[in-house]
Amino acid sequence: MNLFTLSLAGLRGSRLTHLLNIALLGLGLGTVTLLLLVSGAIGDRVLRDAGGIDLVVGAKGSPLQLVLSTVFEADIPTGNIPFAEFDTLLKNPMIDRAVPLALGDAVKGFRIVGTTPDYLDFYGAKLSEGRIWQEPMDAVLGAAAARRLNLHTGDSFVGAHGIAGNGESHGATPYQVTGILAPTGSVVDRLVLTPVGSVWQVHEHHHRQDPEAGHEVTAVLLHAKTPLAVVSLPFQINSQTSYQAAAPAIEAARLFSTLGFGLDTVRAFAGILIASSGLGMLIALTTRMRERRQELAMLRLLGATPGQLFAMVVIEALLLAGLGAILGLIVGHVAAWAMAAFLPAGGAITALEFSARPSELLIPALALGTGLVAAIIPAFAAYRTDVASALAGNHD
Amino acid sequence: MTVLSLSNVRYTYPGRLPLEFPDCVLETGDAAALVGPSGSGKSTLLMLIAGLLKMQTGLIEVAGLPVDTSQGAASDRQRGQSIGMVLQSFQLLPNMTILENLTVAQFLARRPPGRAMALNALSALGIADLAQELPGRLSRGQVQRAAIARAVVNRPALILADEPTSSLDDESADAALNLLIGEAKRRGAALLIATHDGRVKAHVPNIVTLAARAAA
Repeated sequence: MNLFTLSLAGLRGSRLTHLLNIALLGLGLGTVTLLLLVSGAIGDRVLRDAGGIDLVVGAKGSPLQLVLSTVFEADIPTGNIPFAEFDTLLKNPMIDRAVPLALGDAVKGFRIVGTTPDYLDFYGAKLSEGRIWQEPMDAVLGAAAARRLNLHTGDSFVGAHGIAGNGESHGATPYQVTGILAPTGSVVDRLVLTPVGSVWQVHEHHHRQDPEAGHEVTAVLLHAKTPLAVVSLPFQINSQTSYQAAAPAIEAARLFSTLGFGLDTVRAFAGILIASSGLGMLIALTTRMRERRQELAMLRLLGATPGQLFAMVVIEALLLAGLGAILGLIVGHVAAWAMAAFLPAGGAITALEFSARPSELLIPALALGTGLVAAIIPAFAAYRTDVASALAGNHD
Repeated sequence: MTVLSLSNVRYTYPGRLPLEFPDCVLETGDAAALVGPSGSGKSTLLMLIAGLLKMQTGLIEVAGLPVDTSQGAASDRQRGQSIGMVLQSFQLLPNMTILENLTVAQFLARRPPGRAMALNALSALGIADLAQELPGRLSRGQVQRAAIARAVVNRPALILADEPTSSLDDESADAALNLLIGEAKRRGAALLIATHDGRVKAHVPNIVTLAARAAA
């Protein structure tokens, strides 16, 4: 027997009320956990997806849209630019890597990206089987895309028009899987990579244009030679060409400041849940103190000091809070896992990683803080137990 | 050895007439009944002896040490170690097993944990087989035995019993008193039973009578 087992016995008296308060606290903390996991995973994801890409050159329009569509593969492209622009950029001395990108088709929600093998260097992606794409209609699949589409080296498949993958089917021009990439934890995992020539070939019957003169790409991804070039290139491109250059780092930061408002709302909601569970715990413990007046008086009779009764109530509250924290972490991780497993493929959140993060230490801290605040009033009530009057109800 | 001595003890509740308590001395193995009508201060005296009400005038000594509530934790420890209590209606802690009710008494008296000693106390009263039961599952007689076992588990010098028989029929009251007095004697503890129940007088030689509230 010690103070801890004494507190445990104290909690046995009103299990249902305590379970309800633990559930309430667990929901609040679960929401905070999910928030931490999702915002953390999105942050990581953005960093990884941006890879070594300093700038994106594409058609004029919203720079955020250009970055989202070409770097994060999450929006529709702004338009096309002539393929000739790619050659011009290649010759620019400030640029050390330029990679063309041709979008437009997808297979069951996974985007087909026409590009050069240099694209893989942005993400350090490596083949896990087969060989790299060389000829038009060769295709190399990202790890997640291959798994979800259940495609292997040597298989063939057809793409469909539109990046959602539910447009008109290109049945006449099937792709041949030549290789599969190892997982990278970045956007590449969800892509189907092919030479730019495949995209042109597939779409020739759509656009009645001279196939050589009118070749276009969606955008060109750039890696600059120096940090200074990252700053000066957009000015140069924006003023001298009819295209635009956008920096993924800047656009992602702008997106987060917009998202911030929504996250604040969720945070406030979680705060209300946690505060109400704290209040519930306070009410439950205070009510229990009144019910347990005689029990507390009995403990004093047996030799307990007021300080021991105070500590007993604090430990009871911390036990409840601890259980709430464990429940919250479980709820948050299960919710995150469910989001990753059941959200439609191709969404930006699909392949997020939800492993534990150091920021989750916030959860037990929040829980214990809530428990302590809820414990103070009932603990003082226990401390001040008036034994004589508590036992006076006994008889005359 | 003197276990309990009262001298010149008086207690006044605010706005009420003072309660005056007769001087008395209990030796090891003595048993006494503290009798008097309602409001004569029986419970008040028990609380003063236990160090749960602040002394106003006079001196109470338990096992040779003066009761002094200003000592804080030390007086709490003294109560836990040298006084065992048996109450009328609220006798056991409801959310603990019978055995835990005894081990919590050991813990709160700062005695070393002694499960064997606790089981001993239970088997002396014939209820060792109920050690793992919650009080709610016991009969009234069994609860009484468990309460007596808890009162003696720390080998106190003094056992205070507050109306231990008032809600019992004659036969049960007899049995409870025999157990209580027998166990106190066996353990060499002094016993003070506060009661307004006339049946108690037949069991104990010493009677300490409190007068009806003193006239002004």
